[in-house]
Amino acid sequence: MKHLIIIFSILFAQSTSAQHKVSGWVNDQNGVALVGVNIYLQGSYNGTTTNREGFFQLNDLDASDTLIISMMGFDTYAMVLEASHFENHQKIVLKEAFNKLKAVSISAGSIEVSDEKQSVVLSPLDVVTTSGALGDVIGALKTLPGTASNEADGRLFVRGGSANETAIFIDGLRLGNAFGTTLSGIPTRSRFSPQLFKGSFFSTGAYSAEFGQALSSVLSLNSIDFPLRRQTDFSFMSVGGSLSHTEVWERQAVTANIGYTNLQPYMAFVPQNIDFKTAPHSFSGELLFRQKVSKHGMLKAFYAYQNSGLEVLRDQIDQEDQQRAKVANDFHHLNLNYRQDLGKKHLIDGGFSLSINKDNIKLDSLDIFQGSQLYHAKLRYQYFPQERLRFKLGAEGFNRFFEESLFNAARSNAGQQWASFAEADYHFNSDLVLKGGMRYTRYADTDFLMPRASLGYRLSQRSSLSLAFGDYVQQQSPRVLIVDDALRSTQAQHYVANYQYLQKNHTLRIEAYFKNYQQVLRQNPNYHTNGSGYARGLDIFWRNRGGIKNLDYWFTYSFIDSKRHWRHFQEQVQPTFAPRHNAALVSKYWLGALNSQLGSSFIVNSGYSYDNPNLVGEMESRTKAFHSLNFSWSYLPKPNLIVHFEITNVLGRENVFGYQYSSTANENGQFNQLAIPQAAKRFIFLGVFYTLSNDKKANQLNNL
Amino acid sequence: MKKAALLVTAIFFSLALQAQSGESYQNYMKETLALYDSVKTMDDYKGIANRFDRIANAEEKEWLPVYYAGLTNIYMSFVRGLETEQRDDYLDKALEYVDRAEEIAGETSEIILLRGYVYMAKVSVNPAIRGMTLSAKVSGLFERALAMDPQNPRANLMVGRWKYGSAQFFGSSTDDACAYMQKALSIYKNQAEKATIEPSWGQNQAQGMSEKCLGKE
Repeated sequence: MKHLIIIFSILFAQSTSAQHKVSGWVNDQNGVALVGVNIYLQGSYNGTTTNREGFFQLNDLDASDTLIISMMGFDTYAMVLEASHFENHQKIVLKEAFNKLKAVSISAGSIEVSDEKQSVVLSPLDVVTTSGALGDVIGALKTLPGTASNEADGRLFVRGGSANETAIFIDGLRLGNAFGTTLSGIPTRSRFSPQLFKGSFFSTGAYSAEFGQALSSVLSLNSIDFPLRRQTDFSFMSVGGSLSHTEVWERQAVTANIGYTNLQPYMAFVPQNIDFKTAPHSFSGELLFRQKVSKHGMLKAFYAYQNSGLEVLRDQIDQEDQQRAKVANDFHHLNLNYRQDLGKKHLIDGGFSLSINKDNIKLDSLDIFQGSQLYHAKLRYQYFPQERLRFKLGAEGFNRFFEESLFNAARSNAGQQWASFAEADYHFNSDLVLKGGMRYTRYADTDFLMPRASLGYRLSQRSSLSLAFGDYVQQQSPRVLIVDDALRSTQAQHYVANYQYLQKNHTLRIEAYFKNYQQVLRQNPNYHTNGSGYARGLDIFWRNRGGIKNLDYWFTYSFIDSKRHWRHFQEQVQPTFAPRHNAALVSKYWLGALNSQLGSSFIVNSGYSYDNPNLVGEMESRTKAFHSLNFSWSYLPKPNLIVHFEITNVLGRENVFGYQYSSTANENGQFNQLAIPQAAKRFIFLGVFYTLSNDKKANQLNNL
Repeated sequence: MKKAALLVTAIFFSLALQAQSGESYQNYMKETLALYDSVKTMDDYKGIANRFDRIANAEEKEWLPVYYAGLTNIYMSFVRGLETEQRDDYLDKALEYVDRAEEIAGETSEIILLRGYVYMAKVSVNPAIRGMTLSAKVSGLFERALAMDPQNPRANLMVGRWKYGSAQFFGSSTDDACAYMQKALSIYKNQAEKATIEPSWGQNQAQGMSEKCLGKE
């Protein structure tokens, strides 16, 4: 009988009659009634939803039951019921939940290119559709604040820094020789198609402890994760063509891409300022492999090959004869990256990259060979103990090798670098975030410890302020180290203050910065590192999307005041690549009636400094202002077909990038000059891009 | 002997209780699904979403409550008068539910389709900016859902809807799109009136779209 009682009491314990009710109001912290709050007995269907007044009533409850009160955007509240709860109306206050995506972020010095957030300055698509960019990732970045346009060079110049002060990474791994080899005066391009990347992070200063060996800037490109479908892409362009195919299986995907460009036919139609004996041409091949590993792991492998060359006859100062200059470039890049989520709080990723570059240069009868290799291995661990706190730890190693042969004499230089970094960021609340980090690096028997810190503070619902600083170091280039291995590295400090205002259709960014350089390389005639320099300035970025229907435009203005005591100069001078005033106006207009996007960009700067030996002083002269007005027209007759037409420098302005001078004065005591012009007055591009996707289902449908 | 009889009785009772809970799951789901027919305001949707959320929390191994909680959040994002950010909040919430459903039931045709529906709704929040970047994702998901189950009427409907939209945008023929709509409609008609809690939504949409197709001819 005893057993019976026990058994039945257990059985019916669940169904004892719960007679009590709880009622009350739910408000937010400001006392505003919350409508639609879910209130229920834990583990059961018994629940209700607050009404217009934030009022609720729930029956069939018992003391010691747990009531769950939850609402999107608020912290869930669990309430263990006591007898007293059944007597009066309850007043429940829900706390707004912390949401990292909505909390303030640090925007000082960083420009994110992605689709994920509304606040981004640029989307990946902008990279492809910006007029004048000609499908080059770097081309679009050159319309962003903090950059200076140097059309004769083609590389990225950030805030008074030279092009080699910008480091480029793919999936966190360093890309060596990111730009094709060219001859001076003929602009280069970045090597990879923007279509390989889903987004990027571009920092113009004071960037994270994760990155090193870049005095000015970091461009971190993220390759696409897993392609969605099988497809084939063709492109036919006025300068060449490409073919790409993607195959997708359940857990693997492969993309193979080959491209060939040759400007020979194009140059037969469009006159050039340079006498090309062999037009620029290149063959490239890329192979991407993706493998999903278990549920939260992904292996990415990327291999790229490029072979390019050109040959010109060019005028020389002080010489009657023209010089025949030829360059042939061979480039390999391998990038292996593995990423594994370990639960929701841990993430580990790492990889290995290898860049091999070989240049054969011939100047008349002089043969020069330059070869370089860069190996990079990196391991990174991230830990998110809570949504508002993140730790990042990592270690990496670089191995570089450079060789050069000239007049049949060969020499080489090699080195290793080790680095580790640690960083933490913490959101005190939605309005305040602090980030601190430290980078340690060791090479050539020298240690560097570099602190980095930043802060973001929300001033109002739409505006925020952020501050950042950091210490940076960069080894001298291999071309210099090959002469003197003992040269010290150049160091810099960055200080950045940023104000950002975001509204539905508008983005406004104002950023002021100061950069200080020490141990800058000088030559007189031996190399020394006793130079110095600074850069300071102000950037303004304004973007409006949809304020005028179908129109998207942005305006940037960058003021750069930079001087360096470097190279052979006796005093601090303004570097030629840092014009004081730089501006760009970019617009895109969608013309629905024609299924077309019309784009334009106007890029202008106040002129490049150069040294005229006929005048007193150093780097005392400026070229006339540079400007270029570019137009593009993209026509989409079908979802899988795009016809793109683009013309740069529509107005045909004769831009000059500087002058060369003879080494000796002529009979009048003057040094003769030779202008460095644009390679061509205009560039005209026409391309047809066609995508063939796996449309098997359409065929199956017809067969039904 | 007496003890044994008691034990049997006890086991029987406990089984009966379990069965009852299973049955009340079905009933409560049906009851909640029936509420869709009387939705008038945002608050009604919130009530439904909350009910599915409660079932989901009580029945951690069932994918349907989270699936419907996700679907309801998509519907809520379409309610008129919402700010862009609010619409995104509902759609982000919907994605959370889709993830939960996938954790429970894996990548099924219905769940992949629902994910595609979320992204389609995301595109509709800001077509000018998101259209070009997200559309490959949307059509990829819809096509995958259809490939996994060619007889899924919702997959046919959504592939058709998506193709219809892009055909209209490019001013090309909607025949291909309408064929999917027709097929969706015929599948819906064949499986009509099944009183099940499995996904069955979309027939009205398919009807409406098919009429649009016919009207054009």
